[in-house]
Amino acid sequence: MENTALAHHIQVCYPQALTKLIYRYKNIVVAEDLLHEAVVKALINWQENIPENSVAWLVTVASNHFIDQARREKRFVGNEINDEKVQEIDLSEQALLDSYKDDLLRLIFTCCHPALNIQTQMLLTLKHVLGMSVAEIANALVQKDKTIEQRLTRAKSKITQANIPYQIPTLQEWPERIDAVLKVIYLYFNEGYFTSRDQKLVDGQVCQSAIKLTRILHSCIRDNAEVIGLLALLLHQNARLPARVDDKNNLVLLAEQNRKLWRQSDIHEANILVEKSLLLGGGTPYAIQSAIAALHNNANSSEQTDWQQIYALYLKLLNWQNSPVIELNAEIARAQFTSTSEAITRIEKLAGKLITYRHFYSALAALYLQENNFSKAKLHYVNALRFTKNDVETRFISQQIEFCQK
Amino acid sequence: MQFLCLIYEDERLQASREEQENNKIFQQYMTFTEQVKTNGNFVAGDALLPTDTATTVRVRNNDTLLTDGPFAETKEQLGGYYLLECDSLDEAIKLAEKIPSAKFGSIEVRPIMVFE
Repeated sequence: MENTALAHHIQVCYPQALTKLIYRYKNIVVAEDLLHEAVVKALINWQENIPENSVAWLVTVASNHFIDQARREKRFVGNEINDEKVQEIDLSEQALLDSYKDDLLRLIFTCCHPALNIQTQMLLTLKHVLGMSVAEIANALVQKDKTIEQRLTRAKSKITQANIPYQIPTLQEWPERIDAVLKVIYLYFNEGYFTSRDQKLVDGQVCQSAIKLTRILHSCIRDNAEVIGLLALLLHQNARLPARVDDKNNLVLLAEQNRKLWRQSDIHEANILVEKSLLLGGGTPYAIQSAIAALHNNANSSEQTDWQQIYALYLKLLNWQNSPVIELNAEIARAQFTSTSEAITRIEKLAGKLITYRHFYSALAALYLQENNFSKAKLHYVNALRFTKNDVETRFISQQIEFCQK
Repeated sequence: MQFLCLIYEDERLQASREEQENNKIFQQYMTFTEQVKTNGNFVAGDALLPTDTATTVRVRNNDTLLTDGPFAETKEQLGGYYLLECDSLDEAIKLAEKIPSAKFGSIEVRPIMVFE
């Protein structure tokens, strides 16, 4: 079997094998170390053929490794392992299939536990649910291997030492806890959508794996408006990825994007999911955001976009989350069907709350450009530049400043 | 009358010290504990796990806000403590939420070190 396909197969088996080992040894660090040993052996032994029940293979090999270790450390009393923590597990295919959802949810909810900070939640999720290696995570997040390693070690120590429970939350806690998981996934997607990697704006692979993560969650939690809403939103945004930068790696704004480059397969799937999400939840936050994305993606041009409907949806979103960024987006949409000077006045009123937000300045600059007020436009682009870290965005704003000076 | 003695130290020191030195300090603690027990002064005493394992709980507008890490404000002062027996961090957080000061102050939840 080809190495990448083999690695992929192992990644698919990884989370459930891990959950079984956590259940057996009651310790995430022990479970992970044992699974690591099993994965190393799988990479060698699975070259010729892959065992039918791969999860069982990994768990059995990992458990044997534990017994070997115990034997070496003389933890045996007579013929039995002197360790009451060892739990019997049914590893038959049927049992694995039956417990898949609960296993995965337990793992996902533990990784995204609110007593861990959100960056840590993300690292744990990538490591344990997607089975990504430290090097892969470091590459995706543009950080050093060592940093990721340290943060993971710290996180696992907190999980075991502070006894973060390895369980599915109660129904009462469910909405809040799902929301935390969705936030982690969205944060990760945005790492790909606005990568901080030099010379690049987007990292399609990161976006893809965020979508994969949402699909895993969706496979465990069917018919949840917010899970479906997030999946729809990510697919709609992912559809635009090929058009966000041009051949010369320059940023292209939504209004100027070549809509023929948008991935229609993503849009089709997302459209169905948007409908479903709205029906299920009657307009929950991710459903609303996915509906906004759908209005953009199904319009033939920026001019033909239903901006009034987008504005109305942003107002609806504001009822859920009173955030100045959403207020700004609402006003940007409203500016498309009201007078520019009025829009400028309304947006300038948000200045106090968005003083470090680059899009606040670029939005104002763009409106001033429409008014042919080049000096004001330049002033705001200069402000936007101060809060921009990405090279591609910096270049874009610099070009706009040059344009204002002409 | 009872007094609470709060122990403050740079927790990184323990990791950087020689094992021998740490053992010596540990022995000194054992001796002190024995002494206060014999004298009848001892009521309770525990070592805490490092701040890495801490979670800070605040309740504002009925929402529970969790921070991954120790209490870090200097404008609030230590006002009391509860030692609670719980099955998991979740249970400890649920109880911490109910401590009245959680609504305007902060509750740092830290596991007790267990010596095996």
